[in-house]
Amino acid sequence: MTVKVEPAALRRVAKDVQAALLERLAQNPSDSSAAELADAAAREERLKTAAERWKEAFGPLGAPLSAPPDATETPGAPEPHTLPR
Amino acid sequence: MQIWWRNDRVDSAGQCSVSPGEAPHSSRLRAWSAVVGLVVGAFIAPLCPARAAELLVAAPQGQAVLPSPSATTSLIGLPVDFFDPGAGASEGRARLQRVGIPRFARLSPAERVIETRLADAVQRDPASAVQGMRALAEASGSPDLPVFEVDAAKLLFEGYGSGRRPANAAELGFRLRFNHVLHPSAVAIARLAFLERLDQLSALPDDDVHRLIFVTNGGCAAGKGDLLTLARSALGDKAQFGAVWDSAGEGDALENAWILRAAQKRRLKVLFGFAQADPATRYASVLSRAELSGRVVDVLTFVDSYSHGAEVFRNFLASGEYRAAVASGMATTIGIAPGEFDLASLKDRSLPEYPHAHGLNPPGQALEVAHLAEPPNKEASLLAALEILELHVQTARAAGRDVGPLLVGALGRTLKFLDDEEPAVRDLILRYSERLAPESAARDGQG
Repeated sequence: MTVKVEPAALRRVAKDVQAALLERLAQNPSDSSAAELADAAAREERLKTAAERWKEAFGPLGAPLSAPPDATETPGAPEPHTLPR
Repeated sequence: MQIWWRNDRVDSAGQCSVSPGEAPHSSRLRAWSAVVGLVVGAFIAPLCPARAAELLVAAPQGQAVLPSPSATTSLIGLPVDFFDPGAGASEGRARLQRVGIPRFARLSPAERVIETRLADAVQRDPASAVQGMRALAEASGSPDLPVFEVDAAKLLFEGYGSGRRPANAAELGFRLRFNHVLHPSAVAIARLAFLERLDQLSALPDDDVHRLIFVTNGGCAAGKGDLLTLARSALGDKAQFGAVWDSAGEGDALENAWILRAAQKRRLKVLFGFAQADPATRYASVLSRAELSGRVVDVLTFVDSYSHGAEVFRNFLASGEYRAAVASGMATTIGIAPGEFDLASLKDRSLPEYPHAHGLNPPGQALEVAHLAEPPNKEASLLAALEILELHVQTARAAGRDVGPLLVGALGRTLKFLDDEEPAVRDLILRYSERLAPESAARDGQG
């Protein structure tokens, strides 16, 4: 199966994205800044909720094993480390 | 030759006790320290529990070890060819379980314990970890436009906490001290989750607008996150990407070629975005961010994200694979130089926030190597970052703030990499370690 590719389509999207970014950077819109801050705060809250839900379901990754420490907990053997001067 | 002593320990709950280490400083003691260190390591340490954890430890036997930075690997990332970009996410998960996450060659005992717990947990059950990353990506963006960010994966880890900001001193200390050993596991989870999303997008009809992914690029604190935030704000509903890979600067732009191959295999288009910045000034942003988030990028990783990252990015833009994709309309790149934020714009709303912002490529044309600034000099960038760190530390100390954990994360943790660095880089790191932490807090890299 082949995809119908119109090479100009992606270039148009890229041009739109770049123009929008530059236009926004060149402004000082207090309303937009406030909206962006509110958006960022909402996103942080969503991330926190998602992380907490997942940890409740699966337990945090890398929690100490309930079994007594074994080879997993004492990996490798101490060895002298040298630093050239 | 010099032995670096450590006093970091981890208790059964993963918490660390921190106390000053004892580094043999003088050159006269240096030769003795080598002899004494070998004797202690071989004979005395095993008999003395209080001293047994004072030396750097090697990777567990039988585990793959992370290679030195190269054409396929950054200082603290996962080798870019670890997962076959053409294979499905399920094959990637199987490979992770079979091979395991490669481990750092040398770590402090405390780092090694945390690395082992995390990496073992991820490779034991990658499907669950990937499910968590998918949930985070959808929370960061939306179910239709998930945003995959390596650092978000760290929210799943024990000790890190669930918020963008640490909830208490323990989470702050954990983030400041252990960023290195969290990173490869976080990269593995994020890449697998991203592959899973690409597998989904490949099943969409050919003319679906979501068959397009957006990939951010740039050094640490160059403004990649701003690219995405501003794109969302400025484009609104026009930003109809199927997924965003919000790259970590720590990846040194190595993932671009991998993502392009993954996209081509699935007949997806890719828009790469590049934020160009001057590393001579950006370490201040890294430190400001660390005060809020607790995540600090060390000075070597920071500089590599610009020097090694620039080299890798230039090679990518010049590669036959990328140029063919541009010619066929399947990929393109835009470049932005935001410049510095103008503080005066906070008071005078008639002033633009980024008065020097400009595009690197002419509108409608793909970014090319010729549009980019010359790659920064690594030593000069490192010196600038260290000077910024020194100023930050002096200011914080004058205000009575404890900078010990920050110094461990920003400077002390780089010591384990110095064997692979050029003499000029090693000398700079060692000189600033002595200047900033005469009590050897950073030199010893506790905790």
